[in-house]
Amino acid sequence: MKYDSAVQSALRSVILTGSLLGILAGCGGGGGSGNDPASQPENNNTGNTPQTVTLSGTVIGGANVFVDSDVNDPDASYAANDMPGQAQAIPNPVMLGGYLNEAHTGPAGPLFATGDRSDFFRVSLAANQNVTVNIADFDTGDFDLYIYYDDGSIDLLNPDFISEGVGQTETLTIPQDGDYLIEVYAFSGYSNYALVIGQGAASLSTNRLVSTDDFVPGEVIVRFNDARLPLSVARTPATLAATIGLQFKAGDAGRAMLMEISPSSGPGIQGATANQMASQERRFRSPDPERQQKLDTLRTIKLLRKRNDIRYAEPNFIRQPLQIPTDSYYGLQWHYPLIKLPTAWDVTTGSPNVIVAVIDTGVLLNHPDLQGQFSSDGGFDFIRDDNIAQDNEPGIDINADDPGDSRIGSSSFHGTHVAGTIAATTSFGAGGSGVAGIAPGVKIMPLRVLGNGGGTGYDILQAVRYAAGLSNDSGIIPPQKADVINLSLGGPGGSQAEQDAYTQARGAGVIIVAAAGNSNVSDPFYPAAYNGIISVSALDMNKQRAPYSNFGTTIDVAAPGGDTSRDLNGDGYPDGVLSTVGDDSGGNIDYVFKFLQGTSMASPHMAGVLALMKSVHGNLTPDDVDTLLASGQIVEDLGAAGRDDQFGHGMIDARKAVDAATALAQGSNPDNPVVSVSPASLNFGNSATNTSLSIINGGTGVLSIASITTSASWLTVIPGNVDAITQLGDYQVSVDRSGLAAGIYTADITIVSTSNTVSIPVIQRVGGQGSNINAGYQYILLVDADSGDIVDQWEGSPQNGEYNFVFDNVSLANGKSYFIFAGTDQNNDGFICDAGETCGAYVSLVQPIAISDGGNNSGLDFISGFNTGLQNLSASGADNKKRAIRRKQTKKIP
Amino acid sequence: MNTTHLKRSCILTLLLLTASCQTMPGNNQKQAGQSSVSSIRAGLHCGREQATPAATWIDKPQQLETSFKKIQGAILGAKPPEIPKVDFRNEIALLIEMGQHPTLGYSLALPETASLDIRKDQAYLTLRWTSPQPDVSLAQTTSSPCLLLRLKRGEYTSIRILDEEGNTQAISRMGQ
Repeated sequence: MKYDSAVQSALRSVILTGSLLGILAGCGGGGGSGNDPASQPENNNTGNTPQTVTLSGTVIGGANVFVDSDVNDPDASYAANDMPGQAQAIPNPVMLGGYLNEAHTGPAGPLFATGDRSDFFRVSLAANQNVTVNIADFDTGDFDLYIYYDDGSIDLLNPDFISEGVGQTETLTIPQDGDYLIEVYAFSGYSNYALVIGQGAASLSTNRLVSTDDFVPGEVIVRFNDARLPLSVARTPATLAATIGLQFKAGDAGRAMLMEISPSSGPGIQGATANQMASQERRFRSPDPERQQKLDTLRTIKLLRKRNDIRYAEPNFIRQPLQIPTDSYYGLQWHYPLIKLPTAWDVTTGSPNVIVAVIDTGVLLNHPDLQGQFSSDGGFDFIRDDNIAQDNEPGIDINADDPGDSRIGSSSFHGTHVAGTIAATTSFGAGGSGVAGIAPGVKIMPLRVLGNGGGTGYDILQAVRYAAGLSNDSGIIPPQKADVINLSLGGPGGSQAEQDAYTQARGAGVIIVAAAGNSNVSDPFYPAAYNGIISVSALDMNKQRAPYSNFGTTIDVAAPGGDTSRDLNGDGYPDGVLSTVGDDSGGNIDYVFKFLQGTSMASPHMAGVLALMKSVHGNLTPDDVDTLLASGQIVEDLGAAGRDDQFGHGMIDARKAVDAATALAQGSNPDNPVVSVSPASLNFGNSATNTSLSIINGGTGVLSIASITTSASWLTVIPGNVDAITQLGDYQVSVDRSGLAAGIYTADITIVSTSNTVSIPVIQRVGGQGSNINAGYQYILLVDADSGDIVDQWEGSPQNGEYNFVFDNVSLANGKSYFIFAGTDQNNDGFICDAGETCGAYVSLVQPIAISDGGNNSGLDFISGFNTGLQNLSASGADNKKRAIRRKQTKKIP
Repeated sequence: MNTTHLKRSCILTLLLLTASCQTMPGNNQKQAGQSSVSSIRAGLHCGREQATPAATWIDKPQQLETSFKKIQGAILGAKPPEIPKVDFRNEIALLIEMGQHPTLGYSLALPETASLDIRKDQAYLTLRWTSPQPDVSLAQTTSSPCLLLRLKRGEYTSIRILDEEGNTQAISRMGQ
């Protein structure tokens, strides 16, 4: 057996040579269990008969695979399931492929003229099971999902009974154990669909909108497609609204308009909605007026979206308010939304009891956007060398104001920029000005250590000691020490003396954060690389490492540092970090704002977020922060999963950070060990008897398992390969059906650990509704591996869930090889393996293997089913559509 | 004219020519005085992205405006300063950029005694080219220092920028 690595190209050849296959499609042949005669082998030049063989095997329907009993394929067996009394019995669990269409929509076939709007299914379900419908061709069909009690009644007050969304997935959660009817209904158009029950958590499309979402009942936001409007229609809001039977409320023609569903509206969409609703009124009018109005809103949106003169129709969502600053230049501070700061401000904007020490060039104490932001001690200037200080105040002094670090009018005012990022005054009401800061409610402790040409290690350490409330050369212990120290400075050399000093400051409870350096190297950079200091690398607007930023093993976290060489958002300004500065180029110092880049700018983002965390959790310790970083609780993971040398543990996430700090303040364990199980639920169907369960610590710290119990005598859990101390590892879970009456059985496995408790739902079935496999009418194709041509085709219905195929007179001479594919064609578009249709290949769809000379010719068994979970019946169906394979048309369409 | 007179006339002519060459400005002489070179503006974030220095000859008003705005950068919250006046009949402007550096601590300055040293058609200008000392801690913001100068025109068509050690840092040529 040769594995043909060109299988993908072969598949594409199959798809792309549709025109060639059209020739083959004219070949006749029987249906049922027959096959088409293979081409006669040619004589070779020697006169010997080339080798021909018979290929045979069995296609088995995938486990729990079912097919809708009334599909558009004329060769498939047919049993109507259009009414509750005709409901098709299906097993649980199940993955069922179906097809629905409005009359005169979709491919030609037996359902085209009459349509098939409803498919009803009868099934036993357990409480909390999900029932999900994924619409394969969402651009052509809009389906809804309903469940009914076994007697056909529906609880219209319960949102679990009706799913009438406008997305490609509809899902409902079963309220209690029992027998139910499920209806999949074609609101409009046509499509294949997949109905999934009891297969674990459904993967929900992000394009989902249901009545339980938060939107204003009765209001719709509409944008017309102006190019599609008839010329006779006046482009006035009221007129346009009337064309769709709604009432104009706000907006204007040529842009989005707010409209209202009103009984007084004229004909058009409203009329259609009313007719639509009337046909379903007995079943789908909710006694809850608001719910009914929301359902009507969704139905109106569904109808509007079918019109080609409507560009979009959306509900008027109710949004929760976010704290958005009104400061003049906030809109240019792209770096704040990047770290989710606005949502963090909903929690806190900082407490005046929190102090952040900015150890830097000093701060412009009179900058208008920093007024009122300084700690009561006023800070200190620790620069000893007057040539560095340039402040006309010999030696160290109490004046932390930044006089500028240049004698020629090109001072940096670096410390002012850093301080502004942390705590510039920020207005959330009217009348804001300047820029926003991350934690405007906290206080800045300005400590001057950098001047003309940089700063010395000794001066910096004195500032660190002052900030930590330790004895220092100023002779002053501040009345309140700093909670956070920011060090947007450094160099390549480190020393034990400095490490000891930082260790002592951290021991005093101060959280220390420093810039990782701007040399684009992985060498350690100090003080960021010292133990106990949070090292911050820099990001650009795209969350990529900034081109100058250091990286490497000492990086702990990443934050925006900017890239002034670009303007990715096209706002006309370089993509630097915008904050407060001074400008002395004109001789005096002007208080202005500038875009700068560097890990200097990244570090205060982390410092500001730490200040917010301290504001909600006053006892937050440096160890707490380290644990939260390492466990990923306060970052957005970037780059390789987990920690990496580019981004450390990830990009700081301000909202996650304040939430984590809040949780800690309320007593949760910062170490956060968590029991994690796989799989999260178990479904034994009606035949499986045992499976493996993995129990691990999915968090940080240590935990052990205290007990594992089951809630049913037919369910047992036995340790397999587990750790002797923690009891973590692999277990075997078994079910015993002996003595149980036919039916659905549910139970739980409860795992109690020293940290948390986890419950695993288990379902099994005893007996059932006959075989739980019916993969529908299968087309089994023999495909030339080189040309992609269909050489032969077998088709038929299952015998005991199996399809025994035979291909005679198959030539394997001259290196010929073949793939075998199988699948259904529910929508009768001439392709098998469309989204929502079963599909399989020998040996498997994931790794098809070509059959060639020298290999097995019989026992070519494989599975045809829905090969992957719901999520692979993808949003657009695009992934599965690429897999679609044209089959031979063996009969004329009636 | 007899031969002797011709010889004397030639010699005199040669002497006169030599004397005039020696007194013409720009021929191995210094264009001395504070007014020959003066600083218009210094900047710290002038936008050069390359790490190498550069010098740009400016002899048109539009060039000057572009360079001046480049030095200013995107400053918000202040009225833009007026573009300085340069008399391009008698002067040129020169933008010297240090190149981008990973930290602060770099600067360009015009020494108080700076002057143009003109030899043949090339002028030499020495600037204070400052880099940080090793083993100091530096602010981790990138910088691209620059200096915009006003120079008196002279018999030079290129300017060589030197640091105080005599190393050539950049060369600017007329029209480039």
